[in-house]
Amino acid sequence: MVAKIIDGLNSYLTFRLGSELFAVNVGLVTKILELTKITKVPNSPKYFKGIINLFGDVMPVFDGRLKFGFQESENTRETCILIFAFEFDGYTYNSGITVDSVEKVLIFEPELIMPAPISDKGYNPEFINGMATFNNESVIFLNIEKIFSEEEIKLITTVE
Amino acid sequence: MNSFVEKFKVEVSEYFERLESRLLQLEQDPEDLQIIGDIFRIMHTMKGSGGMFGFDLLSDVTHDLESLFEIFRSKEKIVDSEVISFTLNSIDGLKQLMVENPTDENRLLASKLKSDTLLQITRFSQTDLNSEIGILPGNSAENSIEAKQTTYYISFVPDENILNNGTNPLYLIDELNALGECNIQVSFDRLPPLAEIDPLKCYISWYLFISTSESVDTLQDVFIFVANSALITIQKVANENVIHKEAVLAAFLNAQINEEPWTLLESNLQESAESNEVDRVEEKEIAGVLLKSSTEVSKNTGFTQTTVDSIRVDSGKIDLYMNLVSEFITAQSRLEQISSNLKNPELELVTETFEKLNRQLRDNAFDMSLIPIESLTTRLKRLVHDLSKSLDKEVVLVTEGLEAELDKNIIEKLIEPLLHIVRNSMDHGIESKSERLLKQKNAIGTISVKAYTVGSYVQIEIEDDGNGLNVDQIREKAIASGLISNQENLTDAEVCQLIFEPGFSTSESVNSLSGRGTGMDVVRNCVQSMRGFIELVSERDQFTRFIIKLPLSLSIIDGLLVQIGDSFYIIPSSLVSKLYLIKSELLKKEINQVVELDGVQIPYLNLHEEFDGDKRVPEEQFVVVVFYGNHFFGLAVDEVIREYQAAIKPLGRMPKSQNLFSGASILGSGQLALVIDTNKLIQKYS
Repeated sequence: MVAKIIDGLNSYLTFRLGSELFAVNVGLVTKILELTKITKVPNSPKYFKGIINLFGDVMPVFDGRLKFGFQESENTRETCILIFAFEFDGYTYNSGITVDSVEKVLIFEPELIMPAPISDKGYNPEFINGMATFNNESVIFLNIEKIFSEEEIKLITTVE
Repeated sequence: MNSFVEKFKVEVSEYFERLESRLLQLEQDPEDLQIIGDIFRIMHTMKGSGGMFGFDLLSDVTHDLESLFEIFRSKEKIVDSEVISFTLNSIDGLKQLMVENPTDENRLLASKLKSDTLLQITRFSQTDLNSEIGILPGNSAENSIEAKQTTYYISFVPDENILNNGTNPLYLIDELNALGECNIQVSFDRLPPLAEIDPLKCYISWYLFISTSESVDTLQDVFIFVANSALITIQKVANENVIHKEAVLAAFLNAQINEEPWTLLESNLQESAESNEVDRVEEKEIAGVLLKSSTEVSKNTGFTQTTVDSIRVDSGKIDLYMNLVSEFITAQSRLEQISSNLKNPELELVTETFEKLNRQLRDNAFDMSLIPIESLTTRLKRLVHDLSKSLDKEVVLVTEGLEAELDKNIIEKLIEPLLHIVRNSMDHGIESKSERLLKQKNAIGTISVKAYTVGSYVQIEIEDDGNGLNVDQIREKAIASGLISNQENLTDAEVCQLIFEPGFSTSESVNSLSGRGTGMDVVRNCVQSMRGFIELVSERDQFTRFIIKLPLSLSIIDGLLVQIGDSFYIIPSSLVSKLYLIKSELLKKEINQVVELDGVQIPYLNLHEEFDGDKRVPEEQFVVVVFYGNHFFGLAVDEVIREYQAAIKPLGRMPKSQNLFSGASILGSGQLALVIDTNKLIQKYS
């Protein structure tokens, strides 16, 4: 079902983690929330922040920075939780990740999205659908299903 | 059109199941014309509707099977076990023919089944036609089993202190009210003068007449938890509904007061002499609340005939209904929270009413999603039947109490473990015929499956009278594989539980049935994933008994709300044995994680340290003692808040390493409380 919505949809939500600008198809994003109280789940890996009560449903929330292999940092007023819907093993799941800030929705025609260059900054191509340039800045298109299907991922392979 | 085809498929799978169950019954009683008639009718319906929906192969083959059974129906011949096995196999074949667009392979199978059936038919028509035509019992008149109403008199005199243990007698009265029509009298005889009234005591007693189609046992079950704190008598007044016959009720009460014996009022109509006989026996059973004597062994062969008006509801709708009820419970706890903050008496009243309704709604929703364990028996019987043949062991499956009900989701998950256990019993448990005779046992082995409802739990016991477990062999094997060290002094009972450990198998030979070293741990995991537990009792050369305990439902549980640091957690009440309040310093012994409670050494886990880790240790902590298999284990928490009815929400996709919690519940404040999976937690830390 998720795939159907996305078909032919060229709008992308952009957000920041650290200095990087990321984009995901808006069809995958079900909610953008302010940072709310996250209930910690004891004995969990650090990149798993806990669970939240989302209008009567329980939703796991991951730390975007840690999950993608960035440095941990303090939450700011701009910190948001993005809720994604994705399919895994034939089931639809909803999970959230925290991001440093949400930018805006941009339209990218398919021909503007280039395959990720292999050398450049060393993004792990497994998790990336492609890259584009916007305002002289590169935008990284994430493969959300792949990202959520794995545990901790190394988005940037040559992080120092 | 397609939806009709789907419905038809569901229907046919039910027909298959009924056919199997009836065939297995027929094996026990090959001359029962009623069963044969049933089988014939089911086949006939299948043939007809199969053709209508274009399942031509199905209806073709069924047609021939029908002709085969026509022979038995017309009393020409008597069914033998070969026919039954043959028909069962044909049903397996038919299942494969349930396709709309048959392939050549399907056609081949169909023609094979047809020719085999013809073979069977000729086998019967060739044999001596002069063979005796068994004198068969006449088709007993169609029993119009209407729900028969009986009127009982119940006096319920609760102990003054009944409120202390949290019982609300009104709920019991409500429950009775739901069972049938009631005429309730409240007695204030024991009420002291106003000045002497202690508001914490119950001075009221109830006397009521109830007209119900339920049995005395059901009525007694209502009082199961107050049996010790109340005086309860249940007495039969009449074998019909006399609730509206004031004169009868008055006469009965008079007899009570004068302590005269009460003769049952016989309804003059319709009742056959025979059923009166039965009732007279029952009449003698008047007694206080006695639990059903366990000597009563039902030899039920698995198909109780009940006439119930029912409608078919899509199970998705039931799931939705359950979800809505869960939501409602969550909303209810929010309301309670607000009401207790506002302290508005009117609001409190409404909240209380809501709570009561909510409870009824929940029970009702539970009721709908529960199905009897009986629905599994056909599969078990089939397995026993098939394996008896292939292993050349004669085994009967006895069932008892399988009308006990469980959530359908649990039943679905229970199928595999049960089949596995029975398969094991057939293979390793029950000895070969010659071996059994050598041991002076009955050549026919018995596997019994029993179920009981205990509070909010169902206990299922599967027992075989085979050779039992070889404790020494298991011990050796466990030491050899490093599961235990040879210094460990495990009792025999503890050694038996080792077979649930991963990769443990004592079977020397690997065969197609069981004994590949996997299995029992899968069974245990499956049971534990449903918040249940399993244990094993065995006596060498006598029996092996598996005991499985399961909660009635997975989605809503009674829990204990506890606090650790700033977070809330829920421990399923059904697993809680006792609570203790102790000084925190007693829990500080660094090496030996054992605390002495009531003179017993109990291993414990300080969840304050494990979950929270901050330094603010409260001066006193609660130790919640939970069942862990047949051991006890203490969980130290900061605070026990209260009992809590928790609607459990799934946690979604968690990190793989995270499995200590089986769900979360939304509290009235909107905060989340994690539901602790005590089995996993204890396994992880001990």
